[in-house]
Amino acid sequence: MDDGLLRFERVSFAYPGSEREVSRGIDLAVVPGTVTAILGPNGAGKTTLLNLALGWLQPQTGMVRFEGRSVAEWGRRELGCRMALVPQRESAAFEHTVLETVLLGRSPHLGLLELPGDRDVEIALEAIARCGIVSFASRPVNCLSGGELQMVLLARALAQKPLLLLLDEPFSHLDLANKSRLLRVIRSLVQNGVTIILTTHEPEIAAAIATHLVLMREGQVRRVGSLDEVMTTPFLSDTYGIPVEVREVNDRKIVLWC
Amino acid sequence: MPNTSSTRTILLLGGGLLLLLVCSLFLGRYPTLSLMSPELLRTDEMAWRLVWGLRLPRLIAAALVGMTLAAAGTVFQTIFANPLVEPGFLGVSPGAAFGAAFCIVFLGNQAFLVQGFAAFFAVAGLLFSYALAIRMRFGGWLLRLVLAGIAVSALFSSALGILKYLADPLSQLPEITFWLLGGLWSITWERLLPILPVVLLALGVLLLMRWRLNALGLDDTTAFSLGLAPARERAVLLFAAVAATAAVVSIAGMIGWVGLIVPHLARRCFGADCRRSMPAAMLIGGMLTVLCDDIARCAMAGEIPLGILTSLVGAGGFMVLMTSGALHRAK
Amino acid sequence: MAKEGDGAMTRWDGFQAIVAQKPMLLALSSACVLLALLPLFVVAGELGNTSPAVSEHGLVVTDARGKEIRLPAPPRRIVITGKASFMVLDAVYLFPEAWPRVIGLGREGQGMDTFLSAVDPGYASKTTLGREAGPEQIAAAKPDVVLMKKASTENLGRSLEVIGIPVVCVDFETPAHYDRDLAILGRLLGQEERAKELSGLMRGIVSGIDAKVAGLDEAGKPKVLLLYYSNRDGSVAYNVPPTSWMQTLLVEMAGGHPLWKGVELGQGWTKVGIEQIAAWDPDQIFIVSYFTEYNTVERELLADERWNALRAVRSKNLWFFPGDLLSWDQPDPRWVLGLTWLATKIHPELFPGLDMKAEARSFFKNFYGIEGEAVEKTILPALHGDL
Repeated sequence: MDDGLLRFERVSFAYPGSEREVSRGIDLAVVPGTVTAILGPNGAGKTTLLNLALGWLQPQTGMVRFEGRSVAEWGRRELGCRMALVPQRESAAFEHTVLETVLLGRSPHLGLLELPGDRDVEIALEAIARCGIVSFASRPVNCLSGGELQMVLLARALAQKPLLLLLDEPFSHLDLANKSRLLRVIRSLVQNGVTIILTTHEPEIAAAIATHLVLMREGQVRRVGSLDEVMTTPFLSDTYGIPVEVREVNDRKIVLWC
Repeated sequence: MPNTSSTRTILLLGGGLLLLLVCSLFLGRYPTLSLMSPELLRTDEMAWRLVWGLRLPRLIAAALVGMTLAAAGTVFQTIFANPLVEPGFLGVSPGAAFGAAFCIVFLGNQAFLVQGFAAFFAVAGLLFSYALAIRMRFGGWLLRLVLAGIAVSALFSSALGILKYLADPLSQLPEITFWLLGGLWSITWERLLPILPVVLLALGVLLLMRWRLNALGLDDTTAFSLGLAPARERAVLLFAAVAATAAVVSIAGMIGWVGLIVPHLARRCFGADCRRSMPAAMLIGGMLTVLCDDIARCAMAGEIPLGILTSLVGAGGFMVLMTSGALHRAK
Repeated sequence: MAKEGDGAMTRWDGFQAIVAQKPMLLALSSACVLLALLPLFVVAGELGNTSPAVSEHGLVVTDARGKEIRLPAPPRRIVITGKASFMVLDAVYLFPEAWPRVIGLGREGQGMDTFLSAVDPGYASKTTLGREAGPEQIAAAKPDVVLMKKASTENLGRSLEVIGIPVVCVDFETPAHYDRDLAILGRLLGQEERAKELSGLMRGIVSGIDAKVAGLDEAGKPKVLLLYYSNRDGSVAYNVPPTSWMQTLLVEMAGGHPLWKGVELGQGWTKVGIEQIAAWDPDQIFIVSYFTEYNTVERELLADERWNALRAVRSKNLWFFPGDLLSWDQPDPRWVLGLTWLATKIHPELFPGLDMKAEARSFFKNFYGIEGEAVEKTILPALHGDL
């Protein structure tokens, strides 16, 4: 199968004991080297989609394939070496340093009883450098700001050396400068061949970085396609359920709403 | 704190524990309260028998009790991402206490039986908490576990209260009380050897998996995305920690505060990464317990219950630790 | 907040500070501690098991556990310790030969000290071990043998045996134990004649009473209630003893019907309320109090309307259990006095005109070999209860 790194085939999912399907009949293919933004209002099922991709949740019907093979069939560590997640937020109970936290990204590459070696530290430091957080690499993570922490989580995912990177609402707690920095890091990753899927509820972010767009509402995929095809006034109005207007300013799409 | 120096400090700690053990071997109330001269060991057969037959197994037990409780405390605190839990809290300690008291009251005070019952009910306490948490109808997994642990502990504590009421005040109640306060006065090789394989194996597992432990404190999804099997691996580590705790509790009774305070101290001095804080906690725990036991057996003519001393030192240390300025977190 | 442009120099410094981690070294160091101890376990385990050489012609005693203890010679240095060691101590003092051989003991209260000082002038100079004396302290006294009750053999006894100090267990809880354990002490001390004499004395008192009460059928036995008055933390409680305890046995042997048999909740005193007492409707009530004076107890009882309504109280069948420096109801050689007294109270018609003071005098003479001043000045003045 070469029609996509990650494929959703008529995937439906409901949490056990609940009638409501949080994902309904999802069909989706993610092409290597693209940035796919999943856009939709709160509760549209964006995070569930990421969890299905990870294999953390398993669909009741349909199948999620990664490199043509069902995600459920992949070994945990095998998949961890190819796919990484940057969670929306993380609370640290203890004072692990940034380096110690990023080093955890090497877990899938190491055996059950193995300790990280010099090579792993090197890779972690590369990831730290790539995210531009070298200056506080030895600080404890529980006294970082939200923006700094987001970069640490990204660095940890990069230490996994993934082909596919899943980012859950990566921009939601960042100020403008940090947003722009994160955009730059993501772009450089794409240049290095990493495929990206990110969720967001801010259309401008999607417009700024995505090549492909998935519009979701109430567990269903409303539209899929390239940015230009999907990022239109009627589609977005339909997705958010309020009238919005897509305009182009300096070659960049922005969304007006009230 | 730079890591090279903390590595050196941990090695120093290890040496310190060994030195402490050797010194303690010569410390006691025979023939008088003092450090026994090695000379006496050669000339006095009784001194030799005391040192090899009683002091050595007791000291090893003290070191293992401290190491186990501190290591188990580190595991529990990391996995539950909560600095306030300790190894006994999932129904383990109250279960062990109940088992021991049950045996003392109904089946007689035979050491092996008491030990077996304590260990059995310690594990039963954990399994009961686990089963209850699975059946509980609300809350996240960790919250449910904590609630279940509290409920099961309360249940065992009340059952223990009934047993204390039933006990013969002359022969059984003092036995139960001393056991609840903890002590190593009755340790001989005969009692130490059966628990040794369990404790060493479990401590080995905890030591070997200590780096992975860091990742098990993360959210389920995140841990899963890092290639871990969070539920299974946590269960393995918790079981190893509980098995070792049950084993040491079965010979030593309730030794308070070591499992709570020592992991904090280790993290304060060596950072949160379990690669360093786990072995450091084990060594500090071992030293603390050996020191307290030295006081317990030497300070007064009779035995001072060890649990009282560790609680005293532990709670005092906790207050100092929590009120003193952050050592390496100055922002 | 870090700036992206932090130069290569800063980055390099960061590397320097962080790279130097040697996890393997740590693993090794901590494993070493465990492993270094391992060979010691093995060696010491074997050493701990060696038992001291015993001469072939030594003394062999089978103690209350049924365990055979071999001693090279009759012990010259005896330590009495462990829980409730006063029961053993008082029994050992029935053998005058043993007095100088007792070198260490756990002190057990004022009454016992006063009594034994009256019996043995050398008592006061004996080494006192704490209530929870450990093996090291006991070893330092260099005893030939250590005597203790069964309850202490599991922990303290085992530790002493590990270091090669012989432990002989005696229990002295019931009349049957007295028969058995006196023989054990007799053998251990080389005083078998004296042990037989003591057992004979006790049996004589028991059979003298038994001869008179044995013929009674159940209907002829009064319904008896024996209560221990406790006043701990200011809350008064009445308690009945377990079926197997000395007090219950004494009432039975004295020809009474103990009402409380089988009600015990556990293995200690069981608290009972006034309603239960009224429901039992005893013919006679015997009160024991170890810590509160009988005057106080009596005043308290008679001030209580509910107590006054009891048939036993109205018919003046409320008795306070007597004692001298120690109470007579306990597992102490004085139980023979307690038995005699109970018999005269439960069946006054069968034992007319028995003088308990005279009985006490002959008890101390026969059992402890003391009479005259020691008895008259120290012991008899301490007599209390409804003699």
